[in-house]
Amino acid sequence: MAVERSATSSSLSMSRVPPRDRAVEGVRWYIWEYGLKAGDKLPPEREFCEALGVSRTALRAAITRLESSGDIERRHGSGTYVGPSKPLCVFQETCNYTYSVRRAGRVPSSRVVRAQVVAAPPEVADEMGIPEGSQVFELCRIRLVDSSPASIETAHVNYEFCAGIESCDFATQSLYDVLEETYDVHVRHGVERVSIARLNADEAALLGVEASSPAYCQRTFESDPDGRPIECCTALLLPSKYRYADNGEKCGVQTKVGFEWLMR
Amino acid sequence: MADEIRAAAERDSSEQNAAAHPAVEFNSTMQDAPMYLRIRQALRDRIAAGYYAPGTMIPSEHELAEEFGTTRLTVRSAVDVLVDAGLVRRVQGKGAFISTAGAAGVPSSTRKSGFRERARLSHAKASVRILARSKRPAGPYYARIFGIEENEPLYSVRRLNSLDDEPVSIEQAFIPLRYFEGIEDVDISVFSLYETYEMYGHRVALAQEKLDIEALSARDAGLLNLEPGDLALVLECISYDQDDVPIEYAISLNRGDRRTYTYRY
Repeated sequence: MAVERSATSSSLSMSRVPPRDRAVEGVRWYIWEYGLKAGDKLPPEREFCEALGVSRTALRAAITRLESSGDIERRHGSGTYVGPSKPLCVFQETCNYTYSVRRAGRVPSSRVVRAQVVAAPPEVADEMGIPEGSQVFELCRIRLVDSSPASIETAHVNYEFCAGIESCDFATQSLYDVLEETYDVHVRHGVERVSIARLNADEAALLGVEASSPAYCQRTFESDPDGRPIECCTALLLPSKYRYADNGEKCGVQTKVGFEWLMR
Repeated sequence: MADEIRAAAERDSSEQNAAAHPAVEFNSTMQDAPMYLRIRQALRDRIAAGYYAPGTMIPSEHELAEEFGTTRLTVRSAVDVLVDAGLVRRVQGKGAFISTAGAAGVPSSTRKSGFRERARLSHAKASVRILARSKRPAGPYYARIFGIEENEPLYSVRRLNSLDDEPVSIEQAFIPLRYFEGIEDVDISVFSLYETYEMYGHRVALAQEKLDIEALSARDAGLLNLEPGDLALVLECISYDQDDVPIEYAISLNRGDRRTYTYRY
């Protein structure tokens, strides 16, 4: 055997998939194959084991794994269910919070934490390429999905283009709509950076989670068609409530390939 | 480069069964050409005929010198030109490898960037360590992703990617063997997987990714020089070829402090 292997690497023999992996893949397949939606119930343990051809131990390990990633939910004394659908931001298809939440069949809302005109903090001035201390409109909001906090979003808008904007009610209005309709300011170009972070105590309290919980940190900088700096924004989003995807296409193109996998 | 390959392939198609005759003869017009040109043409013809399989090593300079009755120096200068043309890649301490697919090759154009290509753009030195390789049945989930049968084999490669000798990601790729027979023999520490697919005639035309966050296990954290429980950016990626066929599923754990996902519009 050892001799055979060293003779040629193509004698790589077919190996068995570890039981837990097989069970994880089995559960994912089952949900996909039977078109189960958020909140649908999965079969009882014994039946499920038979359907997937895995042991109870393997299935339980898989359930634990999939529960931690939010794919499924265990409800005490009631069974196992498909987890809630997370709003998905596809970079190419406007990374718009409200749109993403609605598309997932859920209800978006906002709570305003701060809405005021301030002197641009150094990092904001630097990012926007405006003099430090220039006036900016600061809008800090908690974004909710079905009235449960999902993100903290802090936007800074170049006040030069939106004098008086602080009197708008951003609990109900979209910042982009106000900029377009009231101020004729159109955001066209930008850069979005997504990284990962842990929440500090204040941020965690605002989002109702434990301190140092993981979050996406999304930083956005946007300019108008003439390249004038309009807005920069930092958002902290809970990975249990929101997700991102790159469809590989050009900006603004909804993919025709792999749509099913991307959206699920 | 692709045109050269095609031209070489056309020259060959006149001789039927070129691959069945390993010692491809010199073209008659080459008889009076200098030796290094004749060797170069012979090697080109063999590559185009598929006699030297993509991703495999060509005979050593010593062996080629013997075959052509010349010196190693002459062989080296012939191979140099093929290296410059991108048909052959030299690897220190290993040898020279065929880095093209002859007639089966697809002209490379707007190929999506894999780990090494991104590294090249950032001017960092990329290195890849293979952690494990295996062959396994697709099973129902991957069968569904690839649109293949459950019992069909997948080739699976787990590797550690480093930039300037610092580990940055652990990546596990699953590849349906039906499109890449013999891919186990390609030295993927020499060729990137995307390059290898291209050699088989499947150019990655579209790559789609989903992002997630995961706390690292002790084993994975150790590989990435991090602490267990530290966060990783998880990228799940499906690569499609020029005909929109999914040819690779990969999942990678990226050091959170080293990878920012940037999108410009």
